Amino acid sequence: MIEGFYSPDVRRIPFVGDTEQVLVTDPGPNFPTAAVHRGPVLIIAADISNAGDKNAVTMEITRGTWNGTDFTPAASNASVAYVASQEGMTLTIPIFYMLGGRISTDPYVAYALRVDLSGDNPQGHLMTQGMIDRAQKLYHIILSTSSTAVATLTPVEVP
Amino acid sequence: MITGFYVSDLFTTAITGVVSNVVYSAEDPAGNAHHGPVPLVFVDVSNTGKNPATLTVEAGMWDGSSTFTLIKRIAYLAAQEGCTVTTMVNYIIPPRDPNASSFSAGAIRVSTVGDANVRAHIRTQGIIEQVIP
Repeated sequence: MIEGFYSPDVRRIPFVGDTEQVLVTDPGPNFPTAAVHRGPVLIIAADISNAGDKNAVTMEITRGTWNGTDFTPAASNASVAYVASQEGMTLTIPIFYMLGGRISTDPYVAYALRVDLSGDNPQGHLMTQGMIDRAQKLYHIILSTSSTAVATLTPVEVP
Repeated sequence: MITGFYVSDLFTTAITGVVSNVVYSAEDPAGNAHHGPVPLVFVDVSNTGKNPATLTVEAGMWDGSSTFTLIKRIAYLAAQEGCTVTTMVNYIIPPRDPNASSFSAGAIRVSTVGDANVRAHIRTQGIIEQVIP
């Protein structure tokens, strides 16, 4: 039998503006629904668009860990992807990175990805494929952003 | 039976700045990194500095020391300023040759041209190790 994936398992996570966010499959004990271990989630691709008038918009994805407050990059080979986009251009790259779940409960530590967009008017997406019967959700925690419409350090469940 | 691979075997190796003749292999003479064969699936390069920025990936055999014997070039990418380019590379890095009289293992050689802002990634199904700086 060949097992595929269900189309609802594939999601696109949007990023707008100059923003730094952390993605986790398990947002930690401070989040009300964090009781179960979620993950892993397969990150399959990323895109970034530069709709501004300056070079260059970039998106950097770094692997590491999240303790509920701080992101710590991996000690070596931390860069998962780096994408640069010229003016008026969208670029897409394959990634294929498996984002794991919680590492320890007390203290809480989980595998995480930091997504850092910079430049003038960047917009990007991360494409994920949830694993069947294992991970159904991914949370992004906003560390900083040029937009004031979002709360900081508030996990947001990706629909 | 169809034998696949575990998605957790997908591995990304990051390169920053200008590198010359860096060899990556799935095996070393001491057997510390026996993971081959390893399929190489994608490579990319980003240029957020000045032109030119290029990435060259070549396939060959490594003797466990400083000699890389070229078989063929399998990828060459050039990125404009403020741009990322990527390509699919369907190449399987062979494991150690068990019939060789001395150590010989499949490897890829990676070189970049540009300035300190060049960024590149090698995406494989399995772990490869940097063996020659």
